[in-house]
Amino acid sequence: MNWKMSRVVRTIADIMVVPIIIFGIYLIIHGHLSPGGGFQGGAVIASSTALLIIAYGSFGKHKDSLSSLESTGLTLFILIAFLGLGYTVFYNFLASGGAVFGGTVPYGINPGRLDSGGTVPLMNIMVGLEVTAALSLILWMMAKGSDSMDVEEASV
Amino acid sequence: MNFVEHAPTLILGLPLLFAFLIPLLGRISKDMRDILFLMGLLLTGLFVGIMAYEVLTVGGWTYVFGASTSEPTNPITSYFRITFVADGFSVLATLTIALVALGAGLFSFDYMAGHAALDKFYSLFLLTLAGVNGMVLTGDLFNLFVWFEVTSIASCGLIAFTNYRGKSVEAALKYMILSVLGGLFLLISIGLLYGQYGVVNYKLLSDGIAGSPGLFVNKLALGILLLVFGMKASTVPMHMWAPDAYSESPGPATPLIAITSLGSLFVLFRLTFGVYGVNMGPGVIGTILIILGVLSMFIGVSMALVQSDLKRLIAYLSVSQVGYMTMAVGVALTTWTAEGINGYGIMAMEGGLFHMINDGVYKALLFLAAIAVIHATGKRDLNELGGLAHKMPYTTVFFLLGALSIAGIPPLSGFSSKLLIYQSVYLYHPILAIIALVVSIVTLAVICKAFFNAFLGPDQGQTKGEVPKGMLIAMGLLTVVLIIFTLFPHYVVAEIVVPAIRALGVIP
Repeated sequence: MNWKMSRVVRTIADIMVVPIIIFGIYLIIHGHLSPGGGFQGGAVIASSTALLIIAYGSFGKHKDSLSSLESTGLTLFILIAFLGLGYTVFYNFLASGGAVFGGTVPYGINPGRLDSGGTVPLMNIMVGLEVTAALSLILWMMAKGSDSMDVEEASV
Repeated sequence: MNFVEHAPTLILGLPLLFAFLIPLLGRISKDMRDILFLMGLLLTGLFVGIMAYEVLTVGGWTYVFGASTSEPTNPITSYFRITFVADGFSVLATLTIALVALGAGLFSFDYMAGHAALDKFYSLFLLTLAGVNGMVLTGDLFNLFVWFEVTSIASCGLIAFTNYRGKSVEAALKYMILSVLGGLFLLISIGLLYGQYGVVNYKLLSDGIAGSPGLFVNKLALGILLLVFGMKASTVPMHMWAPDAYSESPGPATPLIAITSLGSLFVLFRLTFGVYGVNMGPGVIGTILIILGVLSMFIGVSMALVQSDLKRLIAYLSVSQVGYMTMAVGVALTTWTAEGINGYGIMAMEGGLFHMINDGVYKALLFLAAIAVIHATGKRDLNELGGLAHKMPYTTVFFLLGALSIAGIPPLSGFSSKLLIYQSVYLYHPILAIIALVVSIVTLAVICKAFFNAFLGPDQGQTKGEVPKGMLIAMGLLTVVLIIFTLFPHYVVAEIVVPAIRALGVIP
């Protein structure tokens, strides 16, 4: 990867990455209350990766850590499903329990209670981790692949 | 905690868990990665065994996901959740899948040793296993679509895993296009049924179809389902992906991809029998299945005759074996009245389903032996191979047993199931039995050619010796199963196949 955009583009990209990631996290943690969720939020966060790759022409050496993050998200997702095994797999053992994420949303117009939904928000977060890492990896691979393609054509 | 009732979901969940753990913990050391893979396979096999024991001794059950009890307590609301069905038919299907996956998995330790990115291979392997298990166990049409896609994507990755002059990528692309098309058509069919009945659960759906059997929507959806799963099962007009995918996939993945086609056939039978039942118009569907079967048998074996690539030859033979099962079940369908199938139909059904578990095992053995040959010599063209029996005696025996079984030579297990098929289809129409026999004879000719070319003759020094022990153990395991099926066919039919037919609701 040998291109690099101008200082203006790089600075704007640096600034834009912050709100993009925050919006992605917002989508993930509100997934059980409003439109959005793990997949959509993860895709939004991964779009910040795309921005960085375009602006800087590279994304550093994060391949291994992204791959680990992906596996961690998936493993924890399955483990949360298995935690309900006292009843059945995927049983929402946290719901209406009052514990973490165990609250219930009050009836009527309200700002929405984040600590509700039982295991659903937890699973949303895991899916968010997985999608962030996987889509970033795919973008990274594609950037690398198109780059090596250029080199090949140049050598021919 | 009572783990027995959770067995159906653990058969599915454990491969998934280990598939995700392997890239994570596999970084620690290579041994850790191998141990995790082995544990995933063995635990899955263990729970298949537990479920089989429970179903065959006590009886089947339905597992409801996410409810406070796994039993469907409420006749309506429980079935709006995802359900898994543990009955005789699931046992037959998961046993076949687990045996083949265990053999192929054990084989892969020595075969893939030293390969780069092995953790990805193990992950894809376990994901495919989870996908097929999910397909045959689920009791919910939309969930079926999800597992269909999981299987397609994971096995697509497996096919393209080792790139050999771009051929495997071509095979994977072909497979992916067909699978995606198939998945979309499956979704259309699910949409049609959901639009009409408002449910996707097999049980509620079958109640709905029984209430209004004459609707055109039913027939349209059934036709699409036949098309999709016929494609996935590699029956002949839709078989073109199979030889490429089987011959280009890396060694141990080949039996697993072959088992995804058998799994699709299991799903097709569960959908036609379990959901539509007698309302599908058994005569018409039976005739269609017979035509598909005869075409698959005949064209598959004629294409196998002209192949010189060892793996491609076996791939075409496996297309032809699928024809036997579809034909036998088609014949059974034509005898179906409101009381269930009767007369020779029961025998045809027994033969067809026994042939499925049989075929899964000996086809895997044959593929693994062929892959061992390719691994030891580095050649796959039959014209270049020769005299391997001198240096590879064990592989020769394994290949011979699998080959004689696929040709239906007595007393091997392939003969027991084929005899049931010959006898029953003869009573339906003699010409079908004649075609089946001729195809068997041509199969014998094909495997004779392969065996003589590769193994017999003077030693040409193409290999230094026998393949590593791990590969021999894997093939030995499948051979033991094959010998058990050979020695006790009546026992297998009575204990495993008949409960499966009973679970389909066609005999009391």
